Amino acid sequence: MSSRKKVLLKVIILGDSGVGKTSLMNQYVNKKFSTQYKATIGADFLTKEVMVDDRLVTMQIWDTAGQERFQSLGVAFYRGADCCVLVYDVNNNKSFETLDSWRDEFLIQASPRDPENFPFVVLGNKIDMEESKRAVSQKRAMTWCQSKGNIPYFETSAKEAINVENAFQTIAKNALQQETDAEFYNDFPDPIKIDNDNSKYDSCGC
Amino acid sequence: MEHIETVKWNVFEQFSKVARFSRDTAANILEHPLARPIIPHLPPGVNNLIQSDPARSVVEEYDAGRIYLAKWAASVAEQAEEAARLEYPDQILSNNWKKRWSDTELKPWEEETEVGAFEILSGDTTLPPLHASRSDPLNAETWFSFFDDSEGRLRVELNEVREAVFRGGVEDDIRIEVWKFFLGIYPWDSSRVERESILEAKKKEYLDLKREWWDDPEVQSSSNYKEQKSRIEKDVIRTDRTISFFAVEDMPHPDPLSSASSNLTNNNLESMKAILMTYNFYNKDLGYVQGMSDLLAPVFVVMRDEVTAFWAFVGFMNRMEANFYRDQVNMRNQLLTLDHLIQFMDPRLHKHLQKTDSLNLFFCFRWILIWFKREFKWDEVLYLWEVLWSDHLSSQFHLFVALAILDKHRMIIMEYLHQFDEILKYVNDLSMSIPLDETLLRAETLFLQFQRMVTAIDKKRLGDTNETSQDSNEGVRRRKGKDPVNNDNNDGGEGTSNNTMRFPVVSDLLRGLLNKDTSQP
Repeated sequence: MSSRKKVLLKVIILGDSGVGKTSLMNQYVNKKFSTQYKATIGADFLTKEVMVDDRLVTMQIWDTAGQERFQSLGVAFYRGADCCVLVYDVNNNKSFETLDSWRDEFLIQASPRDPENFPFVVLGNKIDMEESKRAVSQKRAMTWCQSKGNIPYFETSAKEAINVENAFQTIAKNALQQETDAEFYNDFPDPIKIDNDNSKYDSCGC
Repeated sequence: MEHIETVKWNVFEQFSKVARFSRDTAANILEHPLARPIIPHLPPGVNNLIQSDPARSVVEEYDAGRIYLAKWAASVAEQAEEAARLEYPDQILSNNWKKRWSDTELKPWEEETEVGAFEILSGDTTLPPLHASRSDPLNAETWFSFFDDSEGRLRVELNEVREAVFRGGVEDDIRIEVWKFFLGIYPWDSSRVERESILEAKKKEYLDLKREWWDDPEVQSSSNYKEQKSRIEKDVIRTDRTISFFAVEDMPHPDPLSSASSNLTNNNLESMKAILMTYNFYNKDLGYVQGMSDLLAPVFVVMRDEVTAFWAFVGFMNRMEANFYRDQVNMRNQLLTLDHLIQFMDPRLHKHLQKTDSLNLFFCFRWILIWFKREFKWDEVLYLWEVLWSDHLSSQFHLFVALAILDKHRMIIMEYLHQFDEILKYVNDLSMSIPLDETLLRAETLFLQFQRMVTAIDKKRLGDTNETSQDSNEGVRRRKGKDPVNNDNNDGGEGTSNNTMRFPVVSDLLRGLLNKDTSQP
């Protein structure tokens, strides 16, 4: 086994309700799709091991409730995030227009050290629907992403597993970059890292 | 037999290496004579996992393995309990819990205080044992015997009905009737004739409400309406679709312009949408919020028709609506009450949650928002909700149900789960595997213990202040309403003795749990 520290990357998925956050996460981690995922209440996460630049990392992907009033209680898990994935439905204009506020809210709540350079990734989901339903053009989405500091943009279908693997590979890569930077700048041990020498898992002895 | 012993020791040895067991852990569960019968029945996969080196290194390295291990330990404990139940069938579960609370080893205040409130209780052998019990569901014969024949008025004390429903829920064939009372469609003092006319009036009232949007193109073109409609639509098509009532797809979508128009639907799904939209007009300030469809679905299936389901839902929402307010103050308060309750009842667990930064209790959020709808199977949800509606012991009995679930898993949580995310994952994954009757029994026991301790503390405080202060109630009064429990030491000491200082504070939130009246939470 490598002597380098194992890394846990924390990824938060945000976006309006019904855009496909749970479906994207499940397609990526479990390679499964169902039309009947219930509306997420509270929050949950799945983990997946991935290779990024020859390093084995564990991604912890957090799925959240889409209705905005439930966000205020859920900020506990924003902290220590390494990447934030903003999801909208390409057939739903409003879900695109709210991306701004999802991004702002995340930056306020997670208060990353360097908000200008914090990695976001935008996913335009549900591209499997018929073209006539499309409400947000690729060009418009990309323009928005460029204006926010060149956020990487992917068009995906969780249902048909289009571009999902690709998108999460980029998410992992950017999250790892963020994690490495954070380590460099940080005087304190990062709370989300698993350190074999000084394990946070030591039993409490109570 | 020899082989079994070897396997047992292998499991024990490897297991303890992996998880660094201290006392009273799953290792001891395996050691315990009651656990022996289960050793040969451990799933082979588990043995392989525990004994293979690569798997062990996985377990040591990251949390997914740790959560797996915690789940495995929980299942071992569960099987041991099951084995014990088979071996000693007459031993009621609550005996074990009583034992736990009078056991010197697990004295809850031991670490916090020299003289805990607990000692007042455990030292007092004159106290009768606590009796929690479950019984058969209320049947039609008993239900109808509660009403007089001539006018159909309730002829027994309401408390008798409440207790019967609390103890066992109700049988399927009378559920529709019983719920109409508990959900406020029928007043408890109404006669048969009055109930009939109430239904008539409610029908008309519903149709009037529905007309406000049903065929009004102007309303339907407003952006607010459209937004609500799309929200409702998105959730209804993913609510309880495995229940046959909602599963059928025999109708094209009524609105070809909807983004969901490629989905087939059925009459019941359309009624769900109509009820939620009408509620939106009935309770204009609130509107539709996620989670409401979860509350409506069982109510609709039990009530069968749209009109009655709407009013039953209104009755349910009267006690639940604050959960959905924009400010979320009510959800915060309930989580805070649960925080106080854990601290009061189980300081060790509370300390662990504090240490793991988990006192936001966010992993109980879903439980409280929609009353465990996602945690239990369909039939169990019906049963649990009527038990909660009965308000027999407390109008917030759901918080004792929450406490009971945590209580059951407290050793696992404290031994294995050392991070907020690990606890959240473990608790989320309990969904659909929680035994309901046992949980209710445990919840009732915990309630009775809580009630007894509050009484004992109040008595003790009053006694102490009487001895040391002329104004006998001052100490108690000043403390009441203080935030939680730890600030006690800053309180000076005038009027209170040192012993009193060490008692856990009974906050106003905790006192509220003794209230049965839903109108004053």
